[in-house]
Amino acid sequence: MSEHRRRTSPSASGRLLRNALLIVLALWTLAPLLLLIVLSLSRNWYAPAVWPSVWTGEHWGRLVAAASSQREALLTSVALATLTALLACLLALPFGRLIAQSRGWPRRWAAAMAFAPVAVPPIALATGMHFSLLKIGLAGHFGGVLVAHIIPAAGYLTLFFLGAFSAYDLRIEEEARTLGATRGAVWRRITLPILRAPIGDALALAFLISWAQVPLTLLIGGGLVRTLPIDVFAAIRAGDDARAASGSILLIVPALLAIAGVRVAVRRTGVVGL
Amino acid sequence: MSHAAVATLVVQNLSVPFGAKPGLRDISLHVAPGERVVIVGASGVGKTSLLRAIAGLTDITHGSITIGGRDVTLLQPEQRGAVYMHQTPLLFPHLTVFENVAFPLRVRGASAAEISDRVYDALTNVQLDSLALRAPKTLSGGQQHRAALARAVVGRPELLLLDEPFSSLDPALRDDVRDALVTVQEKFGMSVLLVTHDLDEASRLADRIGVLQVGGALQIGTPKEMFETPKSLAIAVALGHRAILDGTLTKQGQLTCALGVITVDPRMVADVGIAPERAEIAVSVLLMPGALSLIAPLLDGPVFHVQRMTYSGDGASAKVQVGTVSLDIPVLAESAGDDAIATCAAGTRVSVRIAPSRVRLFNR
Repeated sequence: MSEHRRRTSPSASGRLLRNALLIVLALWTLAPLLLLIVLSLSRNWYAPAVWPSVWTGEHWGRLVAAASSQREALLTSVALATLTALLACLLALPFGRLIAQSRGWPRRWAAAMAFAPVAVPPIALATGMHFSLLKIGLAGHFGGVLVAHIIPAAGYLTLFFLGAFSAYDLRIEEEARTLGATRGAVWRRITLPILRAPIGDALALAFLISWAQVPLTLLIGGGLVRTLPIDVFAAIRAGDDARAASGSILLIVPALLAIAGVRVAVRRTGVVGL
Repeated sequence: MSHAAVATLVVQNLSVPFGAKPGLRDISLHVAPGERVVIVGASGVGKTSLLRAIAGLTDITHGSITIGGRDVTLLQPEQRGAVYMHQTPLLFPHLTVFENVAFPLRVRGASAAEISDRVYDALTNVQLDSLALRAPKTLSGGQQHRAALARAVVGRPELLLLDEPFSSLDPALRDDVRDALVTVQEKFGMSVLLVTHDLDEASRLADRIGVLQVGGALQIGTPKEMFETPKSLAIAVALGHRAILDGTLTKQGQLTCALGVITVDPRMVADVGIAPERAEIAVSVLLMPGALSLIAPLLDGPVFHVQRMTYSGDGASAKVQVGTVSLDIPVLAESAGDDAIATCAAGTRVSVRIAPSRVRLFNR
């Protein structure tokens, strides 16, 4: 019991060390973000000035302007990530279930196949896809980039659903069938509600995968499909720090929302959903 | 009119594959309205496959299944009128107890008033009406089983298919849930086909017991018929009989085995069937409960050594090595009682009294 107390009640020096580590970690994580916020609200802030001399909201104003290319990029990213999340989820859900139901070598092979787009270096994957999509005329188009985003996202999600379905007792559906439910009713009333949380997590995961995707978008889109990360990339290259900063902050928002969502889910269920 | 003509369930010449293996072959059985039939058998003989095939959850290769007079062989599980309950109570975790029980009624489009009446009726029968609004995970194991039972019967199915429904419960809860099953089954009048490996459960619940053997051989009868006159040694073993000796039987009814020479009923000789050209035949001797009793310290006929004494509510019994088999033999009243320990202590030489009417013979 005393040992247990020692573990749960660290000494004063232990508490000090823990707090110091927490502060370092917070600074490490938040400092770049704070810097981005300041950059996005300033004009002509150059070294060695410690603080911007001019504060402005013009960079954020560009986002709401109808003809803004950054706004276009933001909307393209949102559309791309949303479609990727939905389509990858639609593909991965039955695949994950199928693999979870199989046994022996088919299960191992199918899991390895799903893992391939995740494990292969993005540039190699992008090159392979570039040649494939070029042949069918999709390179340089939104549709091509969407297909390119779906492939790794569906791989991640298949593995994710493999885990979810491995913990899901399929016999519950059998019992529901004998209780009078058709296949469709079982999906609507049993499977989807039970898997609501994992499906939500999977949608968020696929959205984030697409949202942050650069190499695939660059190579397959060929610069013609301009997403927010590509816009940030271009702004950095052009030396437009404020635009890069405001774009970067926007890129962080969905990730922060996802982390917050997971924290809420953990508090509500006591189980890590993602 | 045959039994099958009025039965709730009629299975004829059913064959069920086990993956690539042959599995069950040519199974036929019927369950009468309101009847409880319990199928027992060793693990892996196909008890669960038989139930799943009847429920429409497993493909069959041959045969027909009729439930309530309808041929359901080609119908989907939801169209068969048979509810399948698994070993563990698979309540829907996202629904309350009420909504779980209401599920079969909702999917059929029942009215709200009918759902409310029938759900509370079913829950009252399993004594869960006060827990209707609870989430399944907040119920105890026994309560979850009773909720699953209420859900199974609320739609008034013609047949309940129960796959070892009490095996995950401790003995006290098992009695509780078993009583709940009998209560709702008798109230709603549906038929039950239950599989288990628990012989005690089978004998307590069954109107008829069936023993399923590897390949699908099935003998069905009342518990008395099955336990008293098993058709084969394999069935006797499946029903828990363990006191089996090797012996030889003459045409004159003289049975010679490790217990000595016993004279058996001529009908038993006829049942075994000794070929005319042979004087005797090798047999397996099944000693039914009550076939032997132990007398001590009288020494009459073959003498055996007591290995250990045991006491239970039924009285004293002695473990005695007879041939290659170690048997628990009850100590006769005349030598039991307060001095049973002294008279039948380990190492004591004792005699065994045999009741020939409790002996069964099988060809070996």
